[in-house]
Amino acid sequence: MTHHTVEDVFAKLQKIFPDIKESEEKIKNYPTWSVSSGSLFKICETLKKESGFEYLDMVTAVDRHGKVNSAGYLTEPNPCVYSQNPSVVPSQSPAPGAGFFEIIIILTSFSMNQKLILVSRVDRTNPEAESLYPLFKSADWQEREVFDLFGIKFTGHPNLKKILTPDFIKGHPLRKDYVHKKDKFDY
Amino acid sequence: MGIILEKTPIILNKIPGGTIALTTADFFINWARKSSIWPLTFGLACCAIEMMAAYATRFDFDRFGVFPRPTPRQADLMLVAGTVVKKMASPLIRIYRQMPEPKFVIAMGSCADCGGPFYDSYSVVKGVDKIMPVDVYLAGCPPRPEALMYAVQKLQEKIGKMEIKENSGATAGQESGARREL
Ligand code: SF4
Repeated sequence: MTHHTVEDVFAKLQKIFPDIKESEEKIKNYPTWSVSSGSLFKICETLKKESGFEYLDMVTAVDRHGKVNSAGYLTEPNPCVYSQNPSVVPSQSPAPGAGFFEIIIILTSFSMNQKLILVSRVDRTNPEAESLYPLFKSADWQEREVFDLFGIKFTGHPNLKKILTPDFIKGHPLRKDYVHKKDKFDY
Repeated sequence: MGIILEKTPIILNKIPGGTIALTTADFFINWARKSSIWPLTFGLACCAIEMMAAYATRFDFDRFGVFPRPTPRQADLMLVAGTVVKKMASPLIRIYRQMPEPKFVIAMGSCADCGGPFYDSYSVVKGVDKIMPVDVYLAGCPPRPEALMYAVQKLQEKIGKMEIKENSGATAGQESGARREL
């Protein structure tokens, strides 16, 4: 069964998942809903099977760590960029566990001609989320990319390993507290 | 390419049916080499677009004897056009080693010179000269096709000064492959 407007879909979903709500900041004026990471998979499943959101545009993540404004930009210079001495962690950097990751999922419904953005917070100390791979095969590489660059573990992913960075780059470079260790090409 | 006779160490003598020319082996070999620089196109990023423009009709590299080759075994010159990321560095070195001597490298663009806009990036090799010897550095982001032509002319000047008596014209760095073993 398909709905005619995205508001109908939202109202229907809210009956099943009470924790879903409209996000305060809309991304690019698309309907943006914030959901809990525990129900993310089930919400996507419902959206796909019952509301016609059967195309996964993309999976990505944002690191909300430290002083970041609502658009996601750092409000002061990142102290961790390419530190010459990796053993010295800059004192003004935020505490390691502070902040959170946002997993951002964009779904498209071709029957409604509608894009939809789901935002889900995960903990920064042990980031984990359920993989969307059983629903959308295209989530495979995108979740590997998020894992590679942010270190978010997707449970249930069949082949969760690095995809972009070479093996000798340790750590997750798009984390705001990433400190680059010199490798064999940095001299 | 033609030869400017006034600038050439050459003795011309008329013989019945034509002219006989006597010149040095260095000049002759260098003339052949610099007039047929076949580059391996190594387009890695946005600079490759300018490199493609240089090959196309408006700038027409063919008139220099510069024909792009798709395989390292037929190439004399590696045109590193773009950002060399650390993941691409090993294939780059392997392809460089597959090229026959004498071989030359033009680092095209700021990225290949020194990392360019990615000078503090975690994933970019800050200059292709960290992994292989470079003959001509070409600045610009991206350099125009005219600048690439100028770089090739500089390389031709360099080839014109090579001598075969010691090491077939290759520099010491070229003989040993990469500047540093990785
Ligand atoms: S030098 Fe500039 S144009 Fe060339 S590859 Fe780098 S960023 Fe692109």
